[in-house]
Amino acid sequence: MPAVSCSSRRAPRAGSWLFAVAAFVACACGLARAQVENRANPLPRGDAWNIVLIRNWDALYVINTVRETAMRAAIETGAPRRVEWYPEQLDPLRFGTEYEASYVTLLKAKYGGTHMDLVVASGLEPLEFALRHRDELWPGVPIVYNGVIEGSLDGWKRTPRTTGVSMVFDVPGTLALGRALVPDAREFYVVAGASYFDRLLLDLVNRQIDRSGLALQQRSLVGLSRAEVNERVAQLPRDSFVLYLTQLRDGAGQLTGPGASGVTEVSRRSSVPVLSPVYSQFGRGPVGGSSSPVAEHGRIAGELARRVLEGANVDAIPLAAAPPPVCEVDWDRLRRWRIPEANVPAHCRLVNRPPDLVGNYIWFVMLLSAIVLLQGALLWALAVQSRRRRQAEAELRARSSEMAQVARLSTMGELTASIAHEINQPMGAILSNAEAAQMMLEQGSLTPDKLREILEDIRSEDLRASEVIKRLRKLLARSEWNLVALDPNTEVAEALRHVAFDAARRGVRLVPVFGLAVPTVLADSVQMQQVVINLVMNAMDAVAGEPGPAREVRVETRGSAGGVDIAVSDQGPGVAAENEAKLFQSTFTTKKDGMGFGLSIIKTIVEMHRGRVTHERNTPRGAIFRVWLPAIGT
Amino acid sequence: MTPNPPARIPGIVHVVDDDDAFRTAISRVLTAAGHRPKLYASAQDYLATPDPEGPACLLLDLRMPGVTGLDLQSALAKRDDAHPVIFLSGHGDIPSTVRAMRDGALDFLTKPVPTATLLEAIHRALESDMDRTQRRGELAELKRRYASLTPRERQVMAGVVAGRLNKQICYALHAAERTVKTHRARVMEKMRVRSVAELVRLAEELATAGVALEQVTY
Repeated sequence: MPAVSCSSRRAPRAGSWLFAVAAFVACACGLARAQVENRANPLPRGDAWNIVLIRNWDALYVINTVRETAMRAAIETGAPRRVEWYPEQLDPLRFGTEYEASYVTLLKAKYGGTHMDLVVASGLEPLEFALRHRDELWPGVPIVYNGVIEGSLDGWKRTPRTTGVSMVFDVPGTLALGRALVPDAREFYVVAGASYFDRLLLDLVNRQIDRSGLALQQRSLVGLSRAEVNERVAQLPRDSFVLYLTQLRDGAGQLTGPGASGVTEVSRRSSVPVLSPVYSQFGRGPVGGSSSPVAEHGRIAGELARRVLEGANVDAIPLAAAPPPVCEVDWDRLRRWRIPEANVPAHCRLVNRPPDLVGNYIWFVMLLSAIVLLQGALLWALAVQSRRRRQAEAELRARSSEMAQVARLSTMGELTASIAHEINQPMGAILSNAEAAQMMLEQGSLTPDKLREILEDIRSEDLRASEVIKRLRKLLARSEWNLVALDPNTEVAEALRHVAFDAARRGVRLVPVFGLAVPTVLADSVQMQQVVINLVMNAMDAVAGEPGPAREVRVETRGSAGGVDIAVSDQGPGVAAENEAKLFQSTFTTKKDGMGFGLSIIKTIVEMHRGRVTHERNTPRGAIFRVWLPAIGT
Repeated sequence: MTPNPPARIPGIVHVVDDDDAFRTAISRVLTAAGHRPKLYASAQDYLATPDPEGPACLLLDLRMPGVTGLDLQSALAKRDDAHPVIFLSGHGDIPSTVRAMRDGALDFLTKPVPTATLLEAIHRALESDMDRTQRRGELAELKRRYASLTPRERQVMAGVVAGRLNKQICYALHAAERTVKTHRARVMEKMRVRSVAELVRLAEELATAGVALEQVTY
């Protein structure tokens, strides 16, 4: 299919002003020069190909500029001579044919003495004019016509030295497209004007429709005024579409040049999609249509003209068939009517797409896409990484909590003797009280006062035992990581209660020194107590071999540098210099039956609380383990 | 629960325990059983109080602040007039039990202790204390008799116990055989024995009790 690219059709329209001005200037200058030269020094025969171009209406009318551009290119490209164009314009719609005789006289005076090689007639009226006056104006000069709608020459007897190419407004193709785009359409409305041209076209259309055999109801919006048409199309039923032909003159007799077709206004106001079989109207409002491509039509005409100019026997050249119609659909309109692209038949071309990114800006688009993709990938990677980190942190917390739990169980194992003692003490008192009461009862020596006294003791001892159990359960329960605002002094005091019995058993004095202005910390209560318990138990181990007065462990709290310092100090043998570096490593231990997890778990717990644990030497001897935790909100 | 019979041997029970509630409860049981409990909150308190005679025993808590039960037991073990010790602990770990037993603890009970078990242990302790009191009395009598011997008589006694003949003794002591015979008769009289075998047994008893006997080199 001879492709008329989007840009080749759009470009002249977009640059039509520039082109028009250039063409006008060129024509005007050329005319002036020709006249001057004509009188003074007539052009020698054969020096150039002189071509009269008779067109309908305005040179800037889209159908003319597109067609003539293609035609000129076909004639001039690689031509052995230069080409001189002599354009003439007819305006049959506005002026009729009454002035034709005077016009012929004018042209006779104008062209008298100037040899013409070819007459190009663009349109039915120019062809008819040329045929009527060729012998008078340009005797013997061949005629090549174009822009004549197929069918309008039906019954015409081909005259000598005349050839040309017709064009097709493909109404069946346009209707088929309409049915494809509006699948539930049951009728279509034909809009056409009242001028002879409008009626001619309508007649041709009707004949085509008769042949098309479409199962669609045809409705007529013919011969109405523009205002009426605009009003009517706004209220059309949904299951229909508009077939817009031409409205060169409306029913009210108002003329409009073909360059200012009403198709744009009708398309804007219509309640249903508008289609057109007129190529020059594509892109100006209709959703689409099927028509001979005008540029291709111009090219064929140009080729015919070139052959004639080069001396071919005109009468031997057959009349050229119209180039096959091309179906075009306006992408922008398609979206306007929310018609899915899938409805567009495969043979139709989608035009008027927004700037074709992939085609025109491929590198820019690729680069931009690459950057966006890279950024996206980066963001994604960061998000994934951040999520993984959060997961890892949560997992670490969970693991640390588990480890801390295990360590607590192990610590409690070491404290078993103390714990048993703490519980058995009240249990023993309860049992003895009960049995004493029983014995007294049997001996008859149990007075009510005595019984009351015993029962009261039993009750308070029972509460004491359950208090111990409650406290232990809190420490031993598998608890989740639970950060709350805590008073360090309270937590340290609670921790010391756990080891008090053990300290007593070992004969170690616990000396708590609670600071006054100690800030609140955000911590896990159980883990914080665990840290203190472990440090105190280590210290108690350290002083185990010391004489009485040195068997003392100090636990000191005080506010320090935006947090709290908890120092556990002893006067034992201290940490050997060679062991200081690996003090907080796991599995490092100096204890015979220790596993070496104590300090490493303390370190883990403290660091999970964004704190630090450090060791320093005590004076004159012994060790100080210092835990620093940040104050809440820092 | 089986009813607890009144104590077969009523005695003094020194309860050393830092837990007030437990002391009170135990004293009720002991009183009801017919004993005379004496209560101390710490080992120091006990050591500071003169310990009267009579069948008595100690009920010691293993764990106390300051001087622990084991420390007190160790201190008492060096005295010959100490009463038997029963340990009563909330939780007896093996090292503590071993040490307590090696130092002569009579019993090692665990709290909470059934009263029958406790009273049985106290009974055995008081019995043991009575035996020891008796033995201590007998030993004191022996020592008194030995002390009544003159230095010469003790030397002769050492020779007799060692199984020497009179001639050997007089040679070693540079004395006449007659004189040795006289001393020998006085020793048998003062020590209230009728045979050499009996004298040897007493000498062994004294030696066991740590009395330094006169030695003679032959």
